[in-house]
Amino acid sequence: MTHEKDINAFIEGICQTYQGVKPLNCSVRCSWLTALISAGWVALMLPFYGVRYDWAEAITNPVFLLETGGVLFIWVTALMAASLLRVPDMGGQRFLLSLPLLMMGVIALWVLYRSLTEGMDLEFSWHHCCENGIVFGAVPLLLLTYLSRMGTTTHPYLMALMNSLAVGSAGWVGLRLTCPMEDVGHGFIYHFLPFVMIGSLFVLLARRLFRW
Amino acid sequence: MASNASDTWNHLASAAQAGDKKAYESLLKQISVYARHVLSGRVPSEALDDIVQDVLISVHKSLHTFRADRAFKPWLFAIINFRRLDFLRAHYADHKDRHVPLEDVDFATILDTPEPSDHVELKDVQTALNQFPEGQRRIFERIKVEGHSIRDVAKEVGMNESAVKVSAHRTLHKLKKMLSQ
Repeated sequence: MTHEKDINAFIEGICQTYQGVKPLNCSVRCSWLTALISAGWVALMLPFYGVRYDWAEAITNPVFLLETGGVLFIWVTALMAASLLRVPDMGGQRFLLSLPLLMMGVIALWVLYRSLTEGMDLEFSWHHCCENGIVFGAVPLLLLTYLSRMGTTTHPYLMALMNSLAVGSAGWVGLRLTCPMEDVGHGFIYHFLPFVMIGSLFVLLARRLFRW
Repeated sequence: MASNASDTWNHLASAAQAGDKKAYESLLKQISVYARHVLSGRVPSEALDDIVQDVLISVHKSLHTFRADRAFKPWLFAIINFRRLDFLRAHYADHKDRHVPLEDVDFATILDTPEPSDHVELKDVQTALNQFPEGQRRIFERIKVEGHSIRDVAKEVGMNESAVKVSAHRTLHKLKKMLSQ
């Protein structure tokens, strides 16, 4: 019976100073708001780096449209999944986690197919696209980390993965709108790998970042 | 019945979010009983109280993420499971499941409350102990079986404390070897 006494005393201690809490904002509304702010940031940065000179041609290219559409899909669904992950049981909508991962798989297969048919020129050196991508992803990263830490996730690694996918997608879309290079090797090394590295770091730090 | 409990918890949690201290206290007390019930048998019994406290702290920290239009039990269960896995991760990472410090072995309790099936083993222990020299056996029995402190036994046999400790430790090792043969 001692442990019951201890627990009851502990509960009374918690309740003594308790004053109520404000429920967390709706996950869907929060994810759309984050998407809008991130899109606003990318749009704000576009004039600084210059929209690609062949943009009129690019938006009529079905490959460009499909790739960008796929990444936009990852962006929005990863944001929604990250918002839901802030709640311990994900609001019972775990299936949302599969959507960005599935599309990521489709895009990875598409890149693999392109690299096999077009050939991939792997040349590693510092390129301004890496820098631009990091700038495009910086505000979404900070915003998402802040919003994610407001919740109490029971899946820190998945949370970090979803945040990385959302941030990477924002950066990737920004780069597609500013960089005219369509080469699959360039896209892989300078538009994709920096986000993979940042995402990996994020996942490694997940348990610390989302501890509660 | 389960649905009624969940409905009650929904109401209590909503009231608690609004600042009702009594509802909050009642909710936490009911959660502590439920968490204990869910966790017992899934974690070592000596850690049960700590994990239940962890669950209560987690509920306290994450109550703002609960929405009244959703069921309470899945939300609570996710927290209980998270804390259970957290504990088990640390437990296995430290290999606590494989090591029991000799100081923690309560021989007095083990030997005082034999199970019917343990009679043969207990007899074996006694037979093995009888093979040790009188002094060594006496030190071991006084410390490990009767539960006396090392200091008291050292005074009693007129040896220093570390010698007594070493003697009891060596007896235990030899005993283990003899019984495993």
